[in-house]
Amino acid sequence: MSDGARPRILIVEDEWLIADLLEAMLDELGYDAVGPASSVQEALELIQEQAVDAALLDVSLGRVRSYPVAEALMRAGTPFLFLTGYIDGDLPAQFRSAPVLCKPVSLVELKAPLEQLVLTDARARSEKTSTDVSLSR
Amino acid sequence: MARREAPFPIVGVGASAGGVEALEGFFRGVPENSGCGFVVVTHLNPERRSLLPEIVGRYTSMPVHVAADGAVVAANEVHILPPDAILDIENGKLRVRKPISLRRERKPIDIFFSALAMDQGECAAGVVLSGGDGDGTLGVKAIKERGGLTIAQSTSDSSGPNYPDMPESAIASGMVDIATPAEQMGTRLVEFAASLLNFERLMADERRDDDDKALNDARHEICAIIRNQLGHDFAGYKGKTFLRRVQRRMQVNHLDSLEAYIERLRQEPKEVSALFRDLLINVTNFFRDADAFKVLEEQVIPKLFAGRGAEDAIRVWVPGCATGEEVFSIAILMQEHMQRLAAKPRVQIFATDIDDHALSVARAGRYPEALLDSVSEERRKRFFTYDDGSYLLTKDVRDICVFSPHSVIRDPPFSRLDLVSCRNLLIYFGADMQNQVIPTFHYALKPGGYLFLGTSENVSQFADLFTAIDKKNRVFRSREDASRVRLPLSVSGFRPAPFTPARLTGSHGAGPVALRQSVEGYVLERFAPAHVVVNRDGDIVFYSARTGKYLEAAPGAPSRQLSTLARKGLRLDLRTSLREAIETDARVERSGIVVEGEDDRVQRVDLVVEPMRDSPPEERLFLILFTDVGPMLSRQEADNATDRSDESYVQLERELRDTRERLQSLIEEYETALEELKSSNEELVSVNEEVQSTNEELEASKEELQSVNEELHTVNAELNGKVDQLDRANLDLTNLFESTRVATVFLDRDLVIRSFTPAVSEIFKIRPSDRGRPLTDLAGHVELPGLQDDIRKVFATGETVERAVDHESRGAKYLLRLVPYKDSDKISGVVLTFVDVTTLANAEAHQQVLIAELNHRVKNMLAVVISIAEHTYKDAPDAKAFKDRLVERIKAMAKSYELLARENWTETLMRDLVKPQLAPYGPDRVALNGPQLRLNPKQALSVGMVLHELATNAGKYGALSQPDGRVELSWDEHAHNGAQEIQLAWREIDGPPVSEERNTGFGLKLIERETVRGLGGACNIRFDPTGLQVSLSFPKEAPNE
Repeated sequence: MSDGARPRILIVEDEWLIADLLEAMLDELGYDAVGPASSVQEALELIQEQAVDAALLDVSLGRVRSYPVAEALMRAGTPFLFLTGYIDGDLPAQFRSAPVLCKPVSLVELKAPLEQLVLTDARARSEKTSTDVSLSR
Repeated sequence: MARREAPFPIVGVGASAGGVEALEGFFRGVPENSGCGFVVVTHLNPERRSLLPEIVGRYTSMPVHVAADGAVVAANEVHILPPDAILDIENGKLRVRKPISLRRERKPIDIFFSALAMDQGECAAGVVLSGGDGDGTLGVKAIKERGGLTIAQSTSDSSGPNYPDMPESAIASGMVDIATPAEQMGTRLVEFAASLLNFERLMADERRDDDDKALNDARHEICAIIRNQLGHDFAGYKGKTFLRRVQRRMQVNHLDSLEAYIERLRQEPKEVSALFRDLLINVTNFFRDADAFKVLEEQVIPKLFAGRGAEDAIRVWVPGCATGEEVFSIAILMQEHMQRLAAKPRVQIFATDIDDHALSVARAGRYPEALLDSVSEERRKRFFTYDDGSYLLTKDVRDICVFSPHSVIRDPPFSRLDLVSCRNLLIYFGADMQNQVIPTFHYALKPGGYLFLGTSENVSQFADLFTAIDKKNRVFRSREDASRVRLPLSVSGFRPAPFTPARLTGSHGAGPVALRQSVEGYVLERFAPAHVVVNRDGDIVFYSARTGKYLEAAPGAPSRQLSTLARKGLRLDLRTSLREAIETDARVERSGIVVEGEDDRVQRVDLVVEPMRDSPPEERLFLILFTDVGPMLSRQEADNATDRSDESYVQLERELRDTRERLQSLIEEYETALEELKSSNEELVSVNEEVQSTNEELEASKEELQSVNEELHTVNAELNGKVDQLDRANLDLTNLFESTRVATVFLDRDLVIRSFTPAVSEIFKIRPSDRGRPLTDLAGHVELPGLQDDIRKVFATGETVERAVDHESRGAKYLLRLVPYKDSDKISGVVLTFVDVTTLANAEAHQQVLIAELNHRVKNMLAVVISIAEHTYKDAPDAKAFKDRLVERIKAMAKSYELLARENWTETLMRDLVKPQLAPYGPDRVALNGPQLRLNPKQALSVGMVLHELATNAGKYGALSQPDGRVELSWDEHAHNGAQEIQLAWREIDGPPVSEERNTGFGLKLIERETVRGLGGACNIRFDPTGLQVSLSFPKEAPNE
């Protein structure tokens, strides 16, 4: 992530109206939206093709769960958070560390977790590239 | 007697051993509306609660009460005697009293029946059912005497009582109107109830003159029939009582008109005597016919005792004594007379009957009050003790009475009696029998003994045997001059013919045989030597003419003893020669005996004693001939004559000496024998007394045993009933277990299987033979770790433990419940139940899924709504427009949701989806065209939104904004690249001119995005100048679905 450029956030959401809204929110919060991807397949392709700093994952895509996308993101070291309508839907154990936001999500709610994500991403990235963390600050 | 508005019968029902079964039969036969009130009296153990009311309640629909003091007996109700109580009735109200003693000798049936008879009279009915003693017999008697109906269970057929003694005894008393099986009694009682009402009417009619005449005619006719057949006139009988008896007989015979009954009387002599007996039953009780007993008391008894000392005995015989009232009446009179005497002779009253049952009733000497009507208060106090509802005769009266079974006709009679009292027995005998029995009485009586008969009996055709003392009251005296028949000839079936010679002499003009006899008689009388015939005892049984020279009446009581009658001089020779003849059974002669006559003159006589060969050896008769030798001489001449024959004198002297010696030895022998006889007689008397007291003891213990036995029977019947109930309950439980299919195992403290239900086999490998094995031995389909701990916990705390267990192979879930098995307060085991909760668990899980899904959808939708609001807001020129558009869009979504909800979120028809969105514009302006096409819920929501946007757009700016504008909407389904595809075409016609600018807003974006992103399809929007044309296509199965 170069200075001045806006962080790129992947949106995985099958309901386009919600995706639209998220896009608008990201824009307002100072991020660039990638996607939105409405299916697992689409999301995996996007990850392959484009650089992504973080991701918002809707847990349920129609009848399918977005877990394969989450796994791919973890492998790539890209932080993400889950959006879900389920109150206490048990997530698989490996995703327990990921933040979960409840739908419908508001701008305020989204702000802090996103910032945290991007920060995590930056830290991970700096560790990976052996850059001094304090510099990027 | 209590008078009621409409008379209804009160039926006393008496039963004992075997009574439960009989009562069942009885009440099954009684209709619900019989019109009778019932009171059941049984022998109950006073220390036990009785189940009889419940038992009876099972067999009848009438209300069943335990008899309470003061309860009014009503029609169609049943009252039952409670244990340890005595029941009687007064003015139609029951009276219940506690017995004073706990002894079981009471006769509760007799007590109640007689109270019922006194209270209800003609409205009383007595029913005697199965039982083991004679209770009820006296009660039935009391009811019958007061005009009530009596019924007993018939004992002859197979459906008879288990214990026939009680009904048999009642029937044998002759007081039972109807003997019938228990089941049929109900019908007879209903008839009885009806006849009571009829009789009331009949009596009411009687008061009218014309009917009175008809009734009187009938009565006279019946009287005439009886008079003709039996010679007894009932003309003086009370009209109502008479008719009541007649009516009872009509009922017994199933006849309902007097005419028919009179016809029956004419044809059947048996019925006449039955009616006759019924009419006579008036007062069988104590001192029946007060007048007659007065005569007995005042004229006969004093004579019986006259001249008797303490050494003497007075013997009385009462044949046909039945239940003993007559016997005890006489005994009471005897005791009363003896009280006034200083020297009391021994009185023995032999009471006999052929009926053992009646005798046992008589032996008990216990009578209910109803039978004591004619007993004065003084006598009640003196001779009876009141004991729990009945009267018991005192010991001094009972002691002089000896009861034994005996037939007047078949058995040898008693003998040497002072009094024979035979009241109302002869009326049951025909003329032949009477002719046999009356001479028997004569034989049995001592000469001058008394015969006491019933008022309708007579011995007039035997005037030669009896003379009347009081003709009206039937007291007769045995004639001493009548010839004595040695043996009662009735035994050998031979009719006695006393006084034959006398009759022959009077009958001239008879046949040759008769002539010969008459000649022989004449010769005998005129020319034969004087003679007498004696028996072995020396009693003269026949005299010839002219015996006065040799015999003379001795001073003192009249006697027929030869030796006392012989004149002086003859006595010794007569005795010795008779003795010799008896011993040798050969002819003995004596000659030259000097007999002293009157005026100091003597006569020499030759004496011949000859056994009569044609009489039987043990009853040998001896003919004694007296032949005069020479004329009568004076004493001196005789002496001279003796002198003249010295030789014969010496011989005579020698003979005399011999004879005297012999006489002496004989006298000694005789005295010894007499002593022996006396002592053995005393022994016999004392033995007899012992036997009698032993017999009484036996009798009492037999009664006790009987009552214990009956109680056991009753208890057994109750137990049987309970066992039946248990069986039913057990069966119910078994069926319950099988129907619930709840696997249940009963374990004891050691985890041993006590029992289990069939469903357990699904959980354990269990077989019926596994009862008694520990549960832990069995292999299970279910893992039960910690079961033993759980069971221990149940034992320790007494609380129920529940937990869920999984079935290994069937994928089923069970709720295992361990409940303590409580035996009173103690925990003696544990009950395991396995309730199959698979369906419940599945449903619960499913519900969880549904709730989560709903939650998800709601939140998703809210997110969608927020997004729509956002977009609408951006598009809207002002706040009002924003609000209107937003509300419309949300409403459109709501419509689609509503439709989906109605279809249960399955599939929706395209047509149904389209209609609500286009409805506001009317059917004329929108043409729909397409096949039956089904959409899944997501597709339906998307298509709904698209159509809403199209319709709103058309309504605002397009074809539907103008009156003439129309819209055509068509859809179709076809294959495209190997998948089914749905196509939708929207075409606006006759609208305003189309310009593209107006449609750049959110609406268009929504249509496009929803089609592409939501439905995964393609969208083509063409702004044709004639009208907007939109075509959509999307796969039938959405990619994500």
